[in-house]
Amino acid sequence: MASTGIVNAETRTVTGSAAARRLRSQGLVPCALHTLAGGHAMLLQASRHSLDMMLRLHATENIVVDLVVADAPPRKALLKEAQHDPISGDLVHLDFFEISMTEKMQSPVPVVLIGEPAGVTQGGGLLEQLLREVEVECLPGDMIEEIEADVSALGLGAMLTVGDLVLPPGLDVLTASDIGVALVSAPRSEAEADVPEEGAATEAEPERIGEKKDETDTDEKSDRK
Amino acid sequence: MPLMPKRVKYRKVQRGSRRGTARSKTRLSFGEYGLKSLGRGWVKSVQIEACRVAINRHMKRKGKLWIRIFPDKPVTKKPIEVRMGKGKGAPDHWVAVVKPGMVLFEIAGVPEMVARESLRLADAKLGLPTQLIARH
Repeated sequence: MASTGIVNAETRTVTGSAAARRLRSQGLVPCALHTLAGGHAMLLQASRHSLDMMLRLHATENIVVDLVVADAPPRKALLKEAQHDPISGDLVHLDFFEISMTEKMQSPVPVVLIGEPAGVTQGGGLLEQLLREVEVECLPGDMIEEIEADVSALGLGAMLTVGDLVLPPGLDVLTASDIGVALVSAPRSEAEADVPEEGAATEAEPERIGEKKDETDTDEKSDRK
Repeated sequence: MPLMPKRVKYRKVQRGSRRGTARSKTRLSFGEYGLKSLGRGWVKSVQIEACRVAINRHMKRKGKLWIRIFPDKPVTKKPIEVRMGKGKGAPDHWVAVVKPGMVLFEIAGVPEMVARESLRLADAKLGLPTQLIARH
């Protein structure tokens, strides 16, 4: 099972963007817990520093944590989503989903490539990771933190698919098995690298959608005046 | 030829808004390393092309580059020594609107030092404050 973290949270009474901003300025992060009972989410707040320290230890943000709210016994919860500030990267909001240890859950698990492919060392190819996460279904106790994929046997032009991944028992992959995870592509030629990006138009001015040729000409004439 | 759309609905558009921070393209989606903008502005198609050439040259055509922005906004300009008025000028160049937090370029398949230097060279072509970001 993936190592779980412990999150100490308090109930939150304030709502709204202004109140959330004030909380963040005090070093707290607004959180929401979606309970098994359903209904409205439980509003929480937790220390940003402790959350940062906990997330730093994990390869993924979708981890199972023990959520301790005030003096209540800890609840198992899945960190469903962590929102970050687009510039500073600071935590902005967390969404927890309460889980039952006896019911299966779905979560994305990151794929980590291990080894140097033969197509790269001998053929001079380029290893491309096409898929970084696969969706798995399992009991919370069977959840793993990352899936290691050995790519050392991949030759030039070979592809590793989701079906080739070796998973521990108890995990069902929901992602289609024929989707590529890693590919060793052939090295680019010099001429290929110098070709301008796709999307570059060959004409001086792009074609107008839904306009006749004559009308475009008239418009161009008025610009030249 | 510079980067620009193949087909457009209107030849000329108004300047539009550059307020706020980026809501999409804020995280690495394809590569291992990326160049994130910390400022806002218009990036010309020739600047994007200069960045692409600089990155590819330094990577010695190894690795892979993703350009996350596209210049889809036409900018018009009046000819020199022309009095004000008499209508809007003719389309002059194309720009991409960049907001703070937007990932502009992504790189994969090269060592970290090569990626850092490549993106530093690309940063020199842009008139925006940027930051290098990495997946690990």
